[in-house]
Amino acid sequence: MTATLTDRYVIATLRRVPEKQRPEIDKELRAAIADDMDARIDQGDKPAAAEYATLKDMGDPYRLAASYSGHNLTLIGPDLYPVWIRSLKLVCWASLPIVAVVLAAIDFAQGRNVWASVFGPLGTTISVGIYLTFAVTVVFAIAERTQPNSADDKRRPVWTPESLAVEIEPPSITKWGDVLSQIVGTAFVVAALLIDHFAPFVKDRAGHTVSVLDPHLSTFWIPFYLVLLALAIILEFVKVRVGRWRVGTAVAGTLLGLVGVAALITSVTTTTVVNPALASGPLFAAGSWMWWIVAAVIGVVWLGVTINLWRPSTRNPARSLAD
Amino acid sequence: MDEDELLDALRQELRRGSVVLASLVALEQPGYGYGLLEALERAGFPVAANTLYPLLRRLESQGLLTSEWDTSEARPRKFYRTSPHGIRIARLLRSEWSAIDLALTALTTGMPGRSKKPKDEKEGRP
Repeated sequence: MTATLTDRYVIATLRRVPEKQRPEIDKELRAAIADDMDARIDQGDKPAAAEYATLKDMGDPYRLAASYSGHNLTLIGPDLYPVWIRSLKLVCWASLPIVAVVLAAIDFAQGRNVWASVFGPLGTTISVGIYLTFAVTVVFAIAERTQPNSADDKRRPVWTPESLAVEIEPPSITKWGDVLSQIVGTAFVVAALLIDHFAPFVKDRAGHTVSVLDPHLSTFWIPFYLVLLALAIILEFVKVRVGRWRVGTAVAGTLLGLVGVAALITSVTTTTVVNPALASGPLFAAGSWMWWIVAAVIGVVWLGVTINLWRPSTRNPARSLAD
Repeated sequence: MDEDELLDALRQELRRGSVVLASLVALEQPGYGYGLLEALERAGFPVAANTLYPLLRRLESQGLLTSEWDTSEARPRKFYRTSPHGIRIARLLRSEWSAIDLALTALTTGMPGRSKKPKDEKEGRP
């Protein structure tokens, strides 16, 4: 038996609606299509033309199915769009310059001239940017499909102007949107460490692929950082669960940062960081001035983040505005 | 976008919510999908089939409509009927509708408050 146009249309629609709704929608849709066709045939259409016109009017089965099942037809909706853009900018700005600089430094250390060193890594940097954009977008697309419909969310406290000045119950300050970019960023670092160790893609002078980081780091430092980063991601999840600023999470964040920054400064100043097969020489040796600058930058960034963690406006955004 | 297109877009936006109310009112007498589509069309509520059918199911899941399969004819059809809850909701929506119309009329004929500063006008809102 060959399937009629209607059969194909109904099947195409049903394929995309939840299984338990299918039998009902099947019957209902077929009845509606048949009714519409009958009306057109009564007006003098041939059956085939009537069927064609009816289905054409019903439109794309994909759209109809989405309408039946309440699926959204946007990848990232208006609720998450601003955070998505912000995360994308943050992640790209935070990592792409570093990628470009590190690759350029490696090229330069391998004896290429300045121009080749600066412009050579651009292609790789753009690729990394594309991967990053993709990864961030996937995370947000999943969040878009799993977050509760904000319009239905009755648990949200009702906002009144009074909550600007008087804080009976401090409003929730940590939401998914706030930490999503941090989680994405941390997850990216974890992924980068794992890829560098298990699937290195940078070539040394002899043309062998080698990891960017010195392999001896993988005996202690890299696992150690992976644990710290995992703890950091867990802490972000805890913050969302708790929902507002708490001494506990702030202390945990500060301690985690302190351990991380102390370890980073120790490791970049006492051991070789970049794989010697890629870059050797005084600049890349343990404790060279370049690594001290890196250590200083890490320290300053950590200080800024930690101060922000304890600032009154972070603890209690409403009150600081009223002051 | 020329004027016709703009008008079409604005009109569609304005009418978007009216289909729900029209369906609730029309289905106080039981009806089935295609029949309702035609009835709405005749009454001046043109609505696309692919909008109406999913809408009916949604209204049913919200408890505003009830449904029953009629298998007495050759072609089994699902008949919808507005539930008591749906009738109450429809009544409230209709008074909302009239309120919008009244408010618009008041705006065009000119209220006593017209000459005041625009800021004060907002206070009259419900």
